Amino acid sequence: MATGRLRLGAASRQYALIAPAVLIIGVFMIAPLGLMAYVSVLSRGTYGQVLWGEFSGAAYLNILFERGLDGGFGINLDYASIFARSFWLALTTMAIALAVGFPTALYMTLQPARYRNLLIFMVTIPFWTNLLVRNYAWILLLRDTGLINHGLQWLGLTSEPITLLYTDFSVAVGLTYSFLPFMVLPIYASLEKIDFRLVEAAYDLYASRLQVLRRVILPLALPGIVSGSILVFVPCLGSYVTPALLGGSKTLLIGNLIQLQFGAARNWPFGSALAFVLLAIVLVTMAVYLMRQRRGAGRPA
Amino acid sequence: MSTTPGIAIRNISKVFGSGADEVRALDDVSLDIRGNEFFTLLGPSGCGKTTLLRLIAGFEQPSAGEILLDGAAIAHLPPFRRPVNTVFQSYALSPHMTVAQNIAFGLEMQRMERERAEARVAEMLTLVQLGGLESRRPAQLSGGQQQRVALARALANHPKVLLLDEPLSALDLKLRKEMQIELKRLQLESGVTFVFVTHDQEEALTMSDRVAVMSSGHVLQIGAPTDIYEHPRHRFVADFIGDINLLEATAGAPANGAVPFRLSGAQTLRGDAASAPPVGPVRLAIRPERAGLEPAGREGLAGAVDSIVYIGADTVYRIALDEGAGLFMVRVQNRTGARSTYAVGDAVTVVVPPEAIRVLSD
Repeated sequence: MATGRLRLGAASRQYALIAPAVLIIGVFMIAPLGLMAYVSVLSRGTYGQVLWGEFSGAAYLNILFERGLDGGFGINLDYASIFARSFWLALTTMAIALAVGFPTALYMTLQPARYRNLLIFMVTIPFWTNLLVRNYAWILLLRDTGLINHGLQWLGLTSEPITLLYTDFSVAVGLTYSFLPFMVLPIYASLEKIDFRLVEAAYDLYASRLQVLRRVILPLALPGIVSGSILVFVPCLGSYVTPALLGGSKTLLIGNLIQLQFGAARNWPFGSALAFVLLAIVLVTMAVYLMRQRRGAGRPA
Repeated sequence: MSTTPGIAIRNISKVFGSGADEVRALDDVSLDIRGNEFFTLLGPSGCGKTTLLRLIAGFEQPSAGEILLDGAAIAHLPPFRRPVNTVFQSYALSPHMTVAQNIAFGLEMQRMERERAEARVAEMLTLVQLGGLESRRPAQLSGGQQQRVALARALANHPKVLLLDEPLSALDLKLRKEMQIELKRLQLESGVTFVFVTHDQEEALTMSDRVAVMSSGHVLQIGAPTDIYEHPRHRFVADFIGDINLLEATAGAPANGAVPFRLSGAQTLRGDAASAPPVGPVRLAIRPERAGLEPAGREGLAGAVDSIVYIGADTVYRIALDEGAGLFMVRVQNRTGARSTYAVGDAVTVVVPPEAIRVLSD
């Protein structure tokens, strides 16, 4: 009887379940996004104010072109290079996180069931600390007079401090550290689902440990690897706090560039345009990636 | 049949855990499996049969003892260095590979040339009658088809020994019967030694050349199916395989080529003197189909019909023996249709031929 009552009006109950989420996303995400899209096609006033109602494509044009002194347009690759560097850094971070995260997840999977929840908890511990505090901790570690340089000199490996802080390296380290759990947890989830008898079967069929990893474990963990990579790549691309604190002024990234437009530069249309170009690039990249993934999975050979 | 043993299990013990959690899955087990033999490890769950199979496959290391394959010790080798392949209970087919890729996997790992491997895969598909399904994925196959792929994948490597871990338990009854015949055919055609693990006594009897009955880490009896069924030596073996009547009795001194067995009441059975039991308490085992029913008053065990169960080809009568000697099952073939000769409550005589009485050793 209980199931019958549950089924009665199940459709309306299901709508009730999803309604709060739809409401929050609708009001607090779609609406501001629409507003931003609107701002991105408006003109900027002389004093940096947004001229509501005066439409212009200047903000988008300014990403790749600049108006020369003679009034003609010339190509300006400054912003494109910031995009490129951001992509490069996000990809590097994703690769390091994958290289560190996959063995971690595999190790977790191989532990007895009673230890696994503890390990999952330990992976999420960094989340318990404020993002700013974690980044400042890295400053203390990486700076010229920091723990790492002191240690290297004490060991006699270096005579002078190596510049670690305010480089692409320090940003990549900080980002990897921040987003590693996003890589570990999805991979762990897909590894844990693998039937261990498949591994035994592969051993039985003359596969060495490396071949088992390559031919059985990796293909079956692929969904987790894909979602982990996306979960690391996308926030890295738009990251703002870590590059601001650990990266120097020379390593401006998109996130910081956009922040700059809404802050000091007072150019909201340009900031909005940058944000939308970033969004478009991310969406297109993901769509291509997922499409190739799906085609690869459905391939008969 | 080759004279050297295919597999020799020598004093194998396997202990899991330690201290208070210690479980002795196998306790000093020794047995020989001949080349080209269909050998079955039979026993209830937890008897150690699967552990023994996993030791031969290399998934577990023995705590003590030696495993010889054609005379060479293999216990220290990892699974991928043993000329032995396994058919898993759950089939363990790779879901991301097609049927053909699954079957070719072992050949590929052994670096067989592509053309030879493809020919071997085609040959295997024919052997297990799955031609035309090579590009399907395991999820698109029925249970019976997956079973055949698992068999083909293992046999494709031409192993010296094929290990089968309850491979038929997930199939429905009709398919299971078909696969039993199929497995026997494959074993005869391939000439490979099959080591088959099952808890299903009927499966063990129909397919095996020899059966080892196991219980709590020990092998109790090894023999041909007829031997195990007709001449069980242990109470456990007698009870586990088929239905059986177990009776406590006291053996008397043999006279005129017969031994009197006196049951717990005053009734007496006449046994074959050839069984030569020592005078004193013994346990007797009698198969229900070896006993017969006669009207009351004949020579035999007197009793009354307690229940009648019609099971198609046969009818099973439960007879409450007089003087509280317990229930006795008699299985009678239905030669004259479903009409029962006796009704519940009828007084009858259970007739047991002397040669049908087995004296158990424990």
